[in-house]
Amino acid sequence: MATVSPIEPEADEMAATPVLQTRGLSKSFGGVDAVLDVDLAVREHEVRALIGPNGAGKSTFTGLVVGRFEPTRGGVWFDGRDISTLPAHERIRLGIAYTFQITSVFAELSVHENVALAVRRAVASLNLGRRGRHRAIRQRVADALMRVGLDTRSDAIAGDLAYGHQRLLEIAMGLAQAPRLFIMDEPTQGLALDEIERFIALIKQLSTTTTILLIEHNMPVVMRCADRISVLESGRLLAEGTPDEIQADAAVQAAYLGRDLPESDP
Amino acid sequence: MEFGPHLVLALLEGSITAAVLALTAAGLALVFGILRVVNVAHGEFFMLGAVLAWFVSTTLADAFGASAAIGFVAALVLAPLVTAAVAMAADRVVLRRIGYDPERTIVATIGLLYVLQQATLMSFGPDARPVEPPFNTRIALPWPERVDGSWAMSWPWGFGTTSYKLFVIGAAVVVLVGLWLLLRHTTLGLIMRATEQDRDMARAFGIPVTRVYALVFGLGAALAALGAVLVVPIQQAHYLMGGDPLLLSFIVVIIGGLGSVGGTVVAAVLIGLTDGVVSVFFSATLAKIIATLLVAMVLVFRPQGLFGKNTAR
Amino acid sequence: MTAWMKAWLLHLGVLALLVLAWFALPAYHTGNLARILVLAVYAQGFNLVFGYTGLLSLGHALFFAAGLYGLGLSIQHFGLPALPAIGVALGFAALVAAVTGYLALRTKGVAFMIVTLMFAQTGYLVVLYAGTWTRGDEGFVIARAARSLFGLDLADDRIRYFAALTLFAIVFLSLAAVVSSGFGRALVAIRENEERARLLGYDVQRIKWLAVIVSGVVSGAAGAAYALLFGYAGATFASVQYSILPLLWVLLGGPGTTIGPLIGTVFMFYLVDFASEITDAYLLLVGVALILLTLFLPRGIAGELRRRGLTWLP
Repeated sequence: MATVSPIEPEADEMAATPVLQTRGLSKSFGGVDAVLDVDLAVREHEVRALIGPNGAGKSTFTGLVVGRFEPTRGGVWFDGRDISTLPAHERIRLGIAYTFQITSVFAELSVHENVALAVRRAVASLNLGRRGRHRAIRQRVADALMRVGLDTRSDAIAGDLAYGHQRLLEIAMGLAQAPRLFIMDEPTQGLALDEIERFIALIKQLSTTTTILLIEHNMPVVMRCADRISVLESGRLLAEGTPDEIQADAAVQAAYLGRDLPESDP
Repeated sequence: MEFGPHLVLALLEGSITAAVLALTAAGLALVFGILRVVNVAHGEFFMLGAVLAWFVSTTLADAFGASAAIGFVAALVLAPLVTAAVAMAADRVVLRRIGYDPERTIVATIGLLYVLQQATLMSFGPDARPVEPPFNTRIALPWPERVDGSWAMSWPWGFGTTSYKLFVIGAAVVVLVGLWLLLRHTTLGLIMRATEQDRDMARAFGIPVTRVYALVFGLGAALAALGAVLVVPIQQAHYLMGGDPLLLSFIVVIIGGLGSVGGTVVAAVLIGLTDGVVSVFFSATLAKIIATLLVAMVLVFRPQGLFGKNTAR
Repeated sequence: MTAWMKAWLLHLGVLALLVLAWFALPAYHTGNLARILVLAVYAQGFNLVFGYTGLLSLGHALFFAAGLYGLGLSIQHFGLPALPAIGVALGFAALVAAVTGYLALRTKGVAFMIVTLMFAQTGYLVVLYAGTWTRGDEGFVIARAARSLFGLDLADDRIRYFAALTLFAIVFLSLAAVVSSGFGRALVAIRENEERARLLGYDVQRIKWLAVIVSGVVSGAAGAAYALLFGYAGATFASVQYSILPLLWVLLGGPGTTIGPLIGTVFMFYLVDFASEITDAYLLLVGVALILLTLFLPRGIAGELRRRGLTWLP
């Protein structure tokens, strides 16, 4: 059970309430600390990258944020609201979108239906009336697919797409929700170089309307997209700062085995 | 008969139920533990064992004038073997083809249940048929009583058991110990346990997983059939006799912890004794209602059973 | 022609065929069809949970029996007329579905199958235990006088046939609407990838629970209709067999399709009818059919048709 701090999250260096804030967030699995005492705050419209060596706890951390796991200690605040005890589906409804590390789409359904499912739930709460709702669904699906470049594959079965395209589909599903916070777990993994370029452009465009938290191993992508970087190692927050600060940080370099920050895998 | 002896009698009857149940349920637990599938036709393997026992002993008696004892020994050997063969055939033809997918296996074994049951109906007929026990001497049991201020033994009328019933309990214990020895102290047992732990790893070590699966499925069926052969001189063979053992085995395996053979045996003793006692003093239907609901509630609130590990599979 | 139009035509066409069948077929077959239509309603109820939501319930006989005995006992022992008895039956089925569904949905996969089986077995045993009222396996007959609705004598062949057809039509069209609605599509999403649906904001537990309740009410309606139209209630309808049969019908016809349940029920009914003329062991065919279906035709007839080209099949 998470112990929730009764104090409102601090607004020290932040101009406004951060979109996402965690305090002392921890998770142990039977004695192993996957995540330990992580304090994080992400401002509105910020692109935050979460990096770290394998097994650092990045996916577990985002899993805690979105509600896939219950924290052992600590709490999560979304737009100033304590969501630590809310179930995952309710957190999503508050305006969070989430893509999985291992692509998770509806493989037997069409590309269109995949995105429609995301839209349908998102517009259900808006009072649009039946016709308005159908129009909104059509529009948002088309828009989302176009932004990731899948508009021509609308009728294809999701499972028939190449792996990289399935990842793009998952991103489209997140876009279609028009989220306040978009959490992506290794979104460029499996993408071709030109797709990665388009992805970077998408992120830059998206950050004007949405706040983004990315787990990434692809360093060029991180360096080009991120406003700030948080580095996790063995479950703890090792360092946090701008891309330049992180690149120069000795501890971070040591964490990546004393080399320069690694290149991306082609 | 007073309450005391009545209770002891109920416990004795319950012990026989427990013994046979332990064997049958151990077979089901083995299959679930290693193959990770639920065999809904398990009760029919039990029934098959009883029917085959009748067939073997009757044929030997009619054709060769064999005594009940010889007929029984032959049945004890042949019925489990033939049942195991039927099971392994089903495994090869059906289960292997559907890749031991849990949901499809349940549906397929439901089909197998009907096939075995109805095929038996067509050949064996709808009547219940008895099998002679190999020996059956009455054993009167003593009960302590106060006579003139001091304790003395008396032999209440109707308070006793038979040598065969005691044999059933003993035989079951022997087989279960043998099973435990097999699992813990032989290479085959080690192979089986390794396959249970991690199928892919076992394969990587060169263990022929498909063959192990076939063997285990056969062994599970043989255990059920063996239990049936032991109980058929007491109960009679009937084509519908698989239903109750299936339900009870389910209860035992779930409460004992899906996949844990040790837990299964403990649960079988508990349930067998309880069933024996409750059926004597209360309605059998009510006992079954309580037992059935209990299984459901255990699964809902404590899915790992009483002894099993909490593995989300 | 759009997919939507084709689907509409198909559904109306099926209903039109069924109306025509009354005039075209001899009495023996229309009598069978009346029974088949009621059982097909049961199959459709099961299909909602199994075919669309992907939950393998082995205990749906509990809901069928809730409707059957809810109506039967209301008429027999409380002297209620048919209409309020139907209300009691549906309400009772809904209650049973809500309670057992809530508990069973706390489990998944194999455990779910066993829990539903156990709940249904409990129901069956209770029916036997309450033999003074239910007459157990023997069952009881509902007097013809009590089987009238809106002044119509339901025991009359023609009225009975069209009453069964009316119930079937209502359920057929309603469920078709449900599965193409947002709720229906959410069920499919949950079947296909539950975790993904959850992380899109769908309240998976609540949606599944609603599906079970609707399914329970439809199955209960079939049970009530069976008692009312055929005038008999017996424990067999609460037994495991009646939980397995809808599974068989839906698997054969095509899980997750709207016409699948009807196809499967018609087919199996006549197969069993044919087999029981030859042998007492006609259930053998049920067994063989189940095995063959799991091995070779997991999508069922309508499912295979849909996969091989008729993609518009709802």
